[in-house]
Amino acid sequence: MRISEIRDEVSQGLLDFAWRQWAQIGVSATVEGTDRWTVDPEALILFTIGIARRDPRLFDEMLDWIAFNHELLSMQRLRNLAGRFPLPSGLVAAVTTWTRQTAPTNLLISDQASPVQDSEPVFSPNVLAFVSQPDPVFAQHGFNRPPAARTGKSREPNPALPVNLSFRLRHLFGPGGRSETMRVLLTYSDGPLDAARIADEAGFAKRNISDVLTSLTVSGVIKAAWAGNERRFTAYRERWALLLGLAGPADIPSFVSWVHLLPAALEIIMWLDEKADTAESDYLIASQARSLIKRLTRDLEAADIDIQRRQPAHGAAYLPVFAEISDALLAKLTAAR
Amino acid sequence: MEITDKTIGLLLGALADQLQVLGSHVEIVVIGGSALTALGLVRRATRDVDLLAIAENGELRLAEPLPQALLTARAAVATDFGLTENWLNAGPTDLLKWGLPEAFMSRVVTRSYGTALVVHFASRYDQIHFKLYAMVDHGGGRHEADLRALNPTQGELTAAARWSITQDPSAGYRLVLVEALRVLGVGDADLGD
Repeated sequence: MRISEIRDEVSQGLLDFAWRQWAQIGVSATVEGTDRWTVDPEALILFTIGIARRDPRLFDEMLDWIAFNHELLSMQRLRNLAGRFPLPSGLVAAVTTWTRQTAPTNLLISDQASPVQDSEPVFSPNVLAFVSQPDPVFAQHGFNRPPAARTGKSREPNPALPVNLSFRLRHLFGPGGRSETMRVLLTYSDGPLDAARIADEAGFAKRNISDVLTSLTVSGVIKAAWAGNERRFTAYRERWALLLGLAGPADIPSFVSWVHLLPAALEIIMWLDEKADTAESDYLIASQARSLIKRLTRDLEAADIDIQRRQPAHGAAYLPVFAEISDALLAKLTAAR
Repeated sequence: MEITDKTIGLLLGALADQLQVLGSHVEIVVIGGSALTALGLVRRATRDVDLLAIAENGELRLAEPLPQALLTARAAVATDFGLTENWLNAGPTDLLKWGLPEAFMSRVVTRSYGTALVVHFASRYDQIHFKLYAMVDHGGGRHEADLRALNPTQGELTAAARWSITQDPSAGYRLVLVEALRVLGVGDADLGD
């Protein structure tokens, strides 16, 4: 399979995934069925800032959703997670600044800025080649795009959908360490987790999450047990299922390590974009693919994508292995439907 | 992966690709089993590629230490093909210190790999010199086997023996050399003074 074909397949798969997530949490779009996992809002936003650079409509629907639902988000967590994603910090800052504006829906602000020299286009030239007037907020952060406007179509996440458990918990605890800790502990059904892993998945400092875990344990909604010299935590899933109005623990959405899976997915598609039209030899592309996967191994394995079991392949023969890993990643993003 | 007549070109081509990405151009001189294999003089698998020298501006210099670009490229190729980290090494570069057989560079077989790598393989005649020296210095085994596979004439072995004495002029070396030549069928070589 040629690298450009892998790129096209992965690009479409990731865009489909992103649209499906946003549609389920309140963006105006139609999707069939619902996912059996729960979204990670900040990870999804950061992922979308990257992947939607090839889909302006998705990018702007995301802006609209963030502006409408910003009280359900943690800007602290967004900042904490931003470093894990291969994104320019200026673009993340532009998105957060833009969505915090108090401008009314559909207010066009195009005449407040003049074209900016040497700024980076927000969107791929393949989908948006010309920008006659730049958006002033994005321009301030060094990015060039047409004026963004609220579409006004976003809604609040429907708490009845499993995919929106994150938001139910945020309504309960507020966006922050407590709701994220509970999201991780409730959805993770494979046994107890230590504070370091919970903090990693929750996207907050270990010290903060340790405090949260202590108070949640004292309150009796989770339990702690010593394993060697470290404490490990589990949620009382049956009690929580009852509280959440679910038939049982089996109805609690499944765990996905979004903070590892989505940055890795973005790294892979960005690399594929870079290599799709290269004149480099198959060997060299395979070599760079191998280096990329080696660098992403921890993230991919945290997201249950098994890298090590794949057959060793020398030289250019690694390309089919890379294609397999890309397929496994896409399969992971559709697995829980 | 083993280094054989089937894979040596692939590996050196990969090394060239990696050097090109690094924006580097390297010219190397290779001797030993991999050079024999590359030139089709001997058919056997080997574990490494032995660098005698780096060629720069028409001059040969010691291959130790290897240039940084070559180290980086070597590491990438090792990972990509499951080779040991030092699959390309400067093991025999000390031969350069005491002088190569006369007009060595006029006999090398030169191959270019893309635009980033030029490899000068030692000729059969010079490999007879290096293999005889290795056989005497390290004992028989694969060196003797390689030397016999090159099917040297008495004259070639005598020339090789004279050159090898420049590398090690000790009496002990000369004693072993004479025995080695006898084993190879040269009983009355004139080794000079």
